Amino acid sequence: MALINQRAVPWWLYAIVILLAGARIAAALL
Amino acid sequence: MSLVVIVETLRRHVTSVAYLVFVSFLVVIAAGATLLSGQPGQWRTFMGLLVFVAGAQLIGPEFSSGTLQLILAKPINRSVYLLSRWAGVVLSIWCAMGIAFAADAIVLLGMGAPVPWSRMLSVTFGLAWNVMLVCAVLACFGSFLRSYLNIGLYFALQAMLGITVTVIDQIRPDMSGVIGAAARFFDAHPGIGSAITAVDRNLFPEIPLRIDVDWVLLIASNTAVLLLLACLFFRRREVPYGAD
Repeated sequence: MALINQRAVPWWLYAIVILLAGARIAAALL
Repeated sequence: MSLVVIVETLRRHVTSVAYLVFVSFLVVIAAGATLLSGQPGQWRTFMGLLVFVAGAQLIGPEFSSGTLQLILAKPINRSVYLLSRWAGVVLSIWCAMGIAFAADAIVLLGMGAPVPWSRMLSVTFGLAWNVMLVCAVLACFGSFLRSYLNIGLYFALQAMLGITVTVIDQIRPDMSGVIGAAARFFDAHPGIGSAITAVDRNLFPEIPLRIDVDWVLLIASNTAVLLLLACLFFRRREVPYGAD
């Protein structure tokens, strides 16, 4: 098993941010 | 996120004497005020206290007790730890709100009074949803500040932004001296004023009377952004033993 990087920020947090920010921008534009 | 950290955070809250005393107090306030006035939702005034006390110590106590050093040595991802702590604190606060809401409803039902379900639910939802953002701001500030300075920065920033927005709105270019000069400066650079207003509205938004999709998304997306920033800051944070 590969060593776990304890300090890495998980990719899904970036995904959630992009998704929610995108939804907010889309809602504001429509 | 780590279920263990969420559950442990929840357990620490619901088994703490202060939390139980506060929830009992909330039930008494909710039931008493509703019984006397017939107006539900009076407990909401006191929710801020729990939100700030619980939110301020999102990161603090496990630093000082040495628990965090042990947790991070295990190893658990720092971001997972921080997000789970945030989720646990938010869940604890939601539990208290749910109990107060139930006390309100039970009293109204017991009185045989009509229960304004939709209004009570929408107001409580607005409050509960906003808790996520308040805790995310506190988590973000707490990720780089020592002990409880996060709550200090929270109130200082909120007051500063509020005052600045009001001042920029009130001053006029025809006023004398420095004030007039400042008003002319802000008139010439409208971007500065609108940027300050935007920061204020995004960090400390008011809960609207009618909850709409835009507001729900604003809270959700700002919460996510602030939690991401918190994780990025917390990645570089030193975790010395017995600090704070």
